[in-house]
Amino acid sequence: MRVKCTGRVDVSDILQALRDGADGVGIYACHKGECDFETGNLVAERHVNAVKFMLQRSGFDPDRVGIFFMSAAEIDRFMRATNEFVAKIKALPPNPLKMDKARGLNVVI
Amino acid sequence: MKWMATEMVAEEMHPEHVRQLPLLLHAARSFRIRCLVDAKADIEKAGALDGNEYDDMLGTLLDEEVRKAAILREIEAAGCGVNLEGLAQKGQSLGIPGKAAVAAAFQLAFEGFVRCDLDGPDAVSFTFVTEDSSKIQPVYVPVKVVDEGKACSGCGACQAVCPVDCISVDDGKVTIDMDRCIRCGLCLTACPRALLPRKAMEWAMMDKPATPEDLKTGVITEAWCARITREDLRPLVQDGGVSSALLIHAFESKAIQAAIGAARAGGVPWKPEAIVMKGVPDVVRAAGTKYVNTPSMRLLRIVKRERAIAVVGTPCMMQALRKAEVYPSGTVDVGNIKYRIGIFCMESFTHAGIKQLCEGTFETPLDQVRKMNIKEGQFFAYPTSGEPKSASMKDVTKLARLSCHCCHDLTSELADVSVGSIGSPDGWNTVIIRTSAGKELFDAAVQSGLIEKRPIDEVQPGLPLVKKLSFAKKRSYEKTEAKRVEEKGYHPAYFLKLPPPPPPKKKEGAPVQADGT
Repeated sequence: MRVKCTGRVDVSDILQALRDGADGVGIYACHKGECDFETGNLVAERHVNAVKFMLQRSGFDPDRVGIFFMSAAEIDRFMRATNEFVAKIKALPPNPLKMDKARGLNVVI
Repeated sequence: MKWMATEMVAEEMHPEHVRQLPLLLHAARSFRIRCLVDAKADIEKAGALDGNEYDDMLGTLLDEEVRKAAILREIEAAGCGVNLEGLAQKGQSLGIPGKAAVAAAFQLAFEGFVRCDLDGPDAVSFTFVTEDSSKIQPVYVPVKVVDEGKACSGCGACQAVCPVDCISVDDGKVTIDMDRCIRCGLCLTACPRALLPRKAMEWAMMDKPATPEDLKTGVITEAWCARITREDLRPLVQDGGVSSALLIHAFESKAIQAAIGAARAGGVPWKPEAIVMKGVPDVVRAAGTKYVNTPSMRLLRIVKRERAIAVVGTPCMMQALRKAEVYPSGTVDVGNIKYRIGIFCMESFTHAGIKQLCEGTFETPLDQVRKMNIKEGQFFAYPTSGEPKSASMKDVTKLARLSCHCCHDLTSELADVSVGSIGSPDGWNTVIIRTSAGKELFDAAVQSGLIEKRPIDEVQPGLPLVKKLSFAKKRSYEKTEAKRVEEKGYHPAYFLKLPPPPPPKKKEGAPVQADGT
């Protein structure tokens, strides 16, 4: 899915990714205050926080979702953030919905 | 490392969780949740809720949406019409209380995810329509539609639930600051005049399905004729003073910390104000019927932190309280309401209406009226000096609020205990006990000697008159309802355009069975 701005990424988009079996969802947004559309990255942050809140409430690990602020030129920052995030996700158990699919079982509901 | 992972998998792999995520996704797509997530900054700016309260609200509504999504799946899985009992059973197998499952189904029908069919005068079934949120019409419009439809009861519940505090209710009129409104629709969720499925309400009250008899008169477990025994209070109270006595007893026995009611206060004569009563002196101040509508439910948020409260109010307020029980709004929690004392209400007036009546018809300035009463088809006003003035109710009804004509409830059918003068002699009250909480309160007050009672069968005209008038109000409501549906295509209690009639049933299919088999 191509989006013009992280502000377009909705709560339901992130949850859809998790529902389809993603182990984690990372969102890379521009630095705060440097958004081309003024508040796009702040909107994204709000959505991510809402997803974290929802996951926590339903017994999932909120760390499966992360948001990182950086500019396109900061490759080292990108690598560091991604490595940390991936390490964190790898420490978590795989997404149960993906496992069900891999086993060829019908996902309950 | 591997065993550790397995252990953690087991924790998150719990079937509950596997089921939860798709439901969560459905909940997150709901109009309400999206709106409240996006309007977080506005809500914080309005200052009505702090961060924790916002989280509580979002969490409560999220749980509610997840419950609704689960019920929607159940209805879809059933394939054909599911009736209320079947729904409650399915709900219970998912860990959802029967009353919540029924209420959720009615809301799903309201939103358009399922279709609600009337299989007969008392039977309802739900059929799956769609699960795509983008295909339904968002119904979360501000409560303004109810006001514009001349149906607002002026109870003030919408003001209490608004997360941005943009609603104010005064003298039966709703004012919404549309610049601040975030269109979350919580006000419509709280409004007793928009989506009030009576079956679900009766269920919420008794925790079991309502019988056709209950739907006619409300639940009557016991009925008594009663009055307050304290001689010093009799001149202050309206008839028998039972509602005041119940509150006094509840305060004296420390069963409640606060109560919501209306009192004649402030500078304008006969313009009551909603007050939070904290003790017996406040109850004495609030005694007596006011006849002018008061938005007392707006105080619900103020008493949120009290441990146990009682609410005295008209039938529409009782409807709002029961509605809040099964349709949580997150901003107001009605879990701490211990006693709901409903009063009989045929209709209420605006302050302007009562002023016109007293100054026009009775030629008495409002500040010289000591007491008002309705007895035997006559409206009485007692001036501070001189003879009481009276007028026929037929003439007075014209001055009543229009919205009171789309109310079907005379006897506060959803209260714990209903109190009124209809059916009892002068100076006595008819008391209808409807729930165990109401019985507990009334019995304790009788035992403490604050209330004297006698069986309702011994007095004339007794319960038959109450039932007769209650039916009359329902009939007039049905007439109003039919007229409005005919004129506008609107259902007065739903305020939505009625769906087109369902297509004729396919011939090869067996007729849809209501029991969900």
